[in-house]
Amino acid sequence: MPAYVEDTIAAIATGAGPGAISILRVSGVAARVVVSRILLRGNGEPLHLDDTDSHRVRRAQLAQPNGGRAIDECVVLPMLQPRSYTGEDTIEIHCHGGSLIAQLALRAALAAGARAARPGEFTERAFLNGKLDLCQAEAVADMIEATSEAALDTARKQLAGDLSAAVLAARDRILDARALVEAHLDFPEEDLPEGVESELSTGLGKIRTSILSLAETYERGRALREGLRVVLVGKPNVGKSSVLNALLGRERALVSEEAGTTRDYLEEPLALGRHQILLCDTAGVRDAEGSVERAGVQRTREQIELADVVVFLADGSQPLDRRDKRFMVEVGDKPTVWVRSKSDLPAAWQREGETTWIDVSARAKAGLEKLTEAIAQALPTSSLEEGLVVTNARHFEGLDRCRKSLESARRLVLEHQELELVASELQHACSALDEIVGRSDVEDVLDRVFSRFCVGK
Amino acid sequence: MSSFDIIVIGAGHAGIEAALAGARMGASTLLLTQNLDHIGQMSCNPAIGGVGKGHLVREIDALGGEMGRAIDATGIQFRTLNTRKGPAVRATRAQADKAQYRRYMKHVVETTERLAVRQGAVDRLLIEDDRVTGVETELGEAFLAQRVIVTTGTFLRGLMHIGARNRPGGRAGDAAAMGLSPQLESLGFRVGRLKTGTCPRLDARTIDWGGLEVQPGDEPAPAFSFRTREIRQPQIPCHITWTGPATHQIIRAGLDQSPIFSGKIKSRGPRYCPSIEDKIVRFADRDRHQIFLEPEGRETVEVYPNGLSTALPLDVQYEMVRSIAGLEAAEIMRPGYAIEYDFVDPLELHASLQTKRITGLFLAGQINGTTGYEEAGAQGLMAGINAVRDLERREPVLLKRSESYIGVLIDDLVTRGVGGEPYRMFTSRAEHRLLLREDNADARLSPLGHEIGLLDEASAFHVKQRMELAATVEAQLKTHKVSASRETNRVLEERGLPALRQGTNARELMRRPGYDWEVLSALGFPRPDDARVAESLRLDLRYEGYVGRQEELVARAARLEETLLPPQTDFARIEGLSTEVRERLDRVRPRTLGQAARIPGVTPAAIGILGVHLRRHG
Repeated sequence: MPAYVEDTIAAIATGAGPGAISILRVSGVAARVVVSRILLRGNGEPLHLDDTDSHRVRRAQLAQPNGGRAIDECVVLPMLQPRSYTGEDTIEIHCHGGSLIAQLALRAALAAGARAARPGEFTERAFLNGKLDLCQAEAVADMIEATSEAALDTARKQLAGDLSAAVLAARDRILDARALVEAHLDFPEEDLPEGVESELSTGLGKIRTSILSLAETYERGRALREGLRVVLVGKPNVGKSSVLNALLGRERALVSEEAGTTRDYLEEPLALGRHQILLCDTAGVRDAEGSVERAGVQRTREQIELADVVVFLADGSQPLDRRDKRFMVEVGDKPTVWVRSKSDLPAAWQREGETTWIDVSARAKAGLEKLTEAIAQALPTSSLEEGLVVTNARHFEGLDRCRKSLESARRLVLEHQELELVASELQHACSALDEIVGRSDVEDVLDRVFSRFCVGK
Repeated sequence: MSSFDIIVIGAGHAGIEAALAGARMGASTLLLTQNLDHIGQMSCNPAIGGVGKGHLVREIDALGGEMGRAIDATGIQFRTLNTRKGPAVRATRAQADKAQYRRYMKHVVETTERLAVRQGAVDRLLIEDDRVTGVETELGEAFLAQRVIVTTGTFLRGLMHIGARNRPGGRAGDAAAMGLSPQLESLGFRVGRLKTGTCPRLDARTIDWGGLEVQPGDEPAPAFSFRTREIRQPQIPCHITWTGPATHQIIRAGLDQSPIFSGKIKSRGPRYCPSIEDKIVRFADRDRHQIFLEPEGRETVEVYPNGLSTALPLDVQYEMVRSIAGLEAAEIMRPGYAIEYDFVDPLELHASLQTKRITGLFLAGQINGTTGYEEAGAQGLMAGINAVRDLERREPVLLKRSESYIGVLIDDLVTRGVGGEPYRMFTSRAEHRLLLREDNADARLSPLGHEIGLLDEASAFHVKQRMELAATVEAQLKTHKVSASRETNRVLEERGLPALRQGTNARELMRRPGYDWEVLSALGFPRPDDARVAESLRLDLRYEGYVGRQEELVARAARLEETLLPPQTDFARIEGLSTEVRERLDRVRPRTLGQAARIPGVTPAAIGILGVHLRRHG
């Protein structure tokens, strides 16, 4: 696979961590098509950008592709070729800040047909499209070299080194499988070992498992990069923002007596013992009407999905009601700390279920120490100490594509379909890994065929 | 002095295709050979085709070459390989009657208009100002032409080894060509050395056929050429036997006398076509190796024991052969031997197969470091075509990797070189393998073959008709509704296929595993009369999804493949490239950015820099 291809790439252009806005940047021939799949007009109709003017700014809803869930309100800025940084059609989507929205936005763009950009790839394209001066060529070349190494060497060099070793090991095992398949395809008259199907399906199953377990570290990898995500959950006006502020020790969230006044959700980094965490207040519900609260539950669900620890709050001064319980069931089996808030007011209830509730009063600054201890207890410890973590969206995407191809290959074997289709899937699986580690060579497969099998009449 | 448009040196599988293509496309052509009785000689095994190679033959045929028709006319056993592993790796292989194949080819070249055939050993190329002007034979006879195609096979300074003995020769019974490669070297060409080998030939009358496994041909015999209606000649079976522990013992004891292991031969042999000595050493745990006994023709008793390639001394060859089941009393009619020969680094070539150093000089076949009749034929054909294109001052015909194995073959040669062993085609070399089936070779290439004036009007018309018929049938399939009725599901159940839950059309059904024309005709859509059209269409539909994904990859890479690097590009002056990358680029002188990206050691960053350079300097 050539490194430079005519596809459409996407990445978050703004830095990780808190900020007022996050910018998703999509560039390539299909940028307008991709973006049209994830944007809605105010009335919920799809927003088509096919014949948009360049540099015309407009508002839209960002949503999962094909009528999926809404993610955020955003501002869309199309910059059509050649009037863009890359020289291709480039579309920027400005969303609200915070890494959760950014992650969701990027995932939506990838699901809509974009590929995760390699580090430096926008610049690489700018330079390939002649947007950068040639006198910068050497410097740019150095930069591309540096970033392609950086692809193996993201936030944590040492860990990423382990990653590339793990990828190469998996690639090695895929090459073995390919050698087995290719030997049977290219040398049908040879006296080759029988039972290729059972050897293959077992082998592919094992490789898939190791790729999957690598890919699964991506969530932890993100935590490593951005901090473990601690999410405050509860129905509106149970005091989430007040507790957040109390934990941070400063006024960050806008607190009001009127329910649902938190403007979007907030993320704040906080040092908790030896852990770096990201404290998140879930989406405030802007209207107390039931329909919008349903949207609130939706957002809460998304947040919980990405959470490492959930802090569930219920108002101790009010009886637990149906709405509390609606949020409660969303927590599922995530590690959860249960908080009875507003403990300075007379308690309206004592216990609920088997859980231990911690009494906290933001106003009286009571129970905060107990709460931080409980959060620290609940944090997963292993993710910070285990060696091998995928931190990069491009790596994750490669591993995920590899896994899918391996699964297809295994299914084809089990269904006794044509061996050449298995070979094709394995070729895709291998090139997905090749793109992560930056190598590829057909000779690798042939070398293995000749060293493993006695072929040649 | 006689003068021609094109001179072809050597009348092997490359030379024949080159000369025929030249003459058929309208050029006055001279074919020179050392021995008029050896035109189209099969120096090694008496077979054409196989996986990857059969694909090449189909492509040669689709473009208007001769190899497919020759083997169809003279084959003695035809088989389809890989019948169950998928249509793209399905391949045709045939045993040839060697003598008949030679006679067929001799007749064709002797009856082709504009093609002169002469016996003569070329000793020297005539060169003026880096331009070829003709050739001179060892008798001092000169022939003039502005385009010369060299297809000398293993003859350049060929040295044959049997045990500790060696002597010069192009192959058993033919003299080596001693003059040409030193001249090429003195012109600056990088000349290297390769090794290959062949088996002893056995006397069929001394083989005990009784207990051996019989391998018959397929009935009906599958043809190579899409122009062959049917293969009528009766087939002869091959037989299979095995080496045993005793054989291996004999070989091990004789290893010190094999030039391959004594250090006498330094060049490496092909790993896919190892000598029996190699197999015993490298796969010591194997207690037996398969040997195919292949008849060399209908009118000869010579048998080719495929799998027994060796350079052991003759007495050890005898001992080895006679330790094998069925061969206990076998007589060796010709000994096996290894041969070392000169080849020219194919990085010296443009993709047209014209050399970069000498204008008008083309190289094709084993001289370029390949092995195999089919690889040779494919290069010969393209060299012939491009010599004519050059003559007509037209752009060369360059086949893409995504449209043909010939494209893969030539791109690999001129981009990657051949490494340490002769280059052979494997389907795994084609990254777009699923697109390159034997059965669609005519659809892929015949229009081009006709357009360039090689494939005749009638043949091209037939291909066009078949393609139109396929399109019509496909449209009919689409409008043929199949309901999820009890009757439909009964038909499906009888054939072990899952029941339909909802109605669909016949085209959709054909895409699903397990569906073929038999099922469809049971569902009321009859199989088209033309069996080839029916089969190709079925495969096209069955693979539609996979092919679509493959075509997406092709399209994605198209921008790189279509960006041309000007021939005068001075890589040394492009800033930002490492010295190593500059050297590699300069050696290959890639034609496109895509080709540059395939050169081993050329980084994505270097491709980016080339891209910028192109934008600035065009």
